[in-house]
Amino acid sequence: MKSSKSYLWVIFLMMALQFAHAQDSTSLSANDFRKKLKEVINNPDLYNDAFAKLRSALVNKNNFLNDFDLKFKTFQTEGLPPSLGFEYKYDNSWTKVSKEAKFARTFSIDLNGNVAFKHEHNPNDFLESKANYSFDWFVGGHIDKNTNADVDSLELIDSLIIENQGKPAEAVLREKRREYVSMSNMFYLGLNAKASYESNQTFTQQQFAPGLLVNLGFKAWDRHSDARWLNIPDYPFALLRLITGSSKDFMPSRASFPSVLLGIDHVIPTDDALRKAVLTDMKAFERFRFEAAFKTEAAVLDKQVIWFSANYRWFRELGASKAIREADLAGYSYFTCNLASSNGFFVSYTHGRLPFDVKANSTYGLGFVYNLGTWK
Amino acid sequence: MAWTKQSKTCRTVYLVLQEDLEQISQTVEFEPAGALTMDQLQFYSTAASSGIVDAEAKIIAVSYDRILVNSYRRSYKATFDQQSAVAALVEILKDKEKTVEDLSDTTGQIYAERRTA
Repeated sequence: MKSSKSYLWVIFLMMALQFAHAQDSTSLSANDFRKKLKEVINNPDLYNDAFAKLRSALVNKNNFLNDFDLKFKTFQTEGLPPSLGFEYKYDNSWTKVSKEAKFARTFSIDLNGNVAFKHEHNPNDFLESKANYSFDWFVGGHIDKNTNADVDSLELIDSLIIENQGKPAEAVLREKRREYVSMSNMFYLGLNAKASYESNQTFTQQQFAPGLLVNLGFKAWDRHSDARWLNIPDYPFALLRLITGSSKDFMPSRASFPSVLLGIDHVIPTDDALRKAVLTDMKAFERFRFEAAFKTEAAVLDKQVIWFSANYRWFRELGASKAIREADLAGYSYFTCNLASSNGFFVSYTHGRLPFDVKANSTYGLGFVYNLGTWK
Repeated sequence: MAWTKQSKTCRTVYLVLQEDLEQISQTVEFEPAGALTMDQLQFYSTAASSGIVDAEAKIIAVSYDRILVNSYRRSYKATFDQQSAVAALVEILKDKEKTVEDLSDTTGQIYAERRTA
């Protein structure tokens, strides 16, 4: 109790310091004072700093906080003023791998969502609490075992590469190193059984959605194969890397093939005002879902690596009634992409809606990301 | 354990991530690479759902383990086997706040260096 009181004092003190910083030394009118106070209270950085302090103090005492992430942010939706809120995420998993790591089994718990303090300003009004069991296959990714003499050479080359960084010899040494590490292409298939509870932030819409999902992935690890040329989404970025000088050749990435998640959910609505408005009963229904994700290096500018990330999600109710289709509740699609620099600067664009959103919104974002866990 | 050029493990982690798994840009030199967080590596997309990030982390962990065991002939320390090694790597990779230096520390805890005659 004593420690929680002291943390409240820390938060109060930080608000006071922020406020003192926000105002200048000249006297303020009552209106200016209210305006400045509002600016301080609505600044998500204040709460992020306070939470980071609280977490860094408690993290060794409570392991739950190691996997829990809370990020205060400002929501900006078309036609509405900015509104303060937060995004939360808890993700923990336990993995068992078979001999030779050809198969893996994982049990995970994942809670995530966005909460705006004014709920009508939330463009991503979707909270999900999920338990998942997955069975994974890794096909390919074979590597021949090096001899001791090979390892001696490899480790010597590693040392020389690092000693010669930025010098002409580096490229030759890297080329030589490739003779000692050679892996075949790898396919990944994951089968998932999951149970999730979904709601909006006011819990006026809730549903339970168990489902079966398939995860697909591919890595063109084999440098000698032409598989990397199948990474067509990376072509524009390979060109950009060439133009900006971060790559000497037009070469799609071997690692950045899009990942895919697809499957069927059995949705049991428990409270859904939107469906109640158009249906006389609240029967369970099947929903197809698809997600694709892609991340690749876009460019390097002024020594900052710029990553491009995109994510598309699509939900479709199977056998939806005419009333559901006419009310535009049968399908949802959501797209987000961002360019993020290694110094934290990002620009983002989001369009579409997730289940429970009434209408599609477009949201633009611009700002800096702070990593709470590395706060000192 | 510090992120230093003198450490064989640090050098191995850096070059496996950069050269073999294409997780670090070719333009990032050894010194700054240690401070990169997992979400600054290629596999970790903050825009994707946790289902996709989990799958990507497993692919990287399994590939990384195979390179260390086969290309570098590293063996597992007494308290680890392949199952627990990959599970420990997945835990690090999935945590967006962990750094490449943290991954190097974990690698040092899991894998023993090759014994030379």
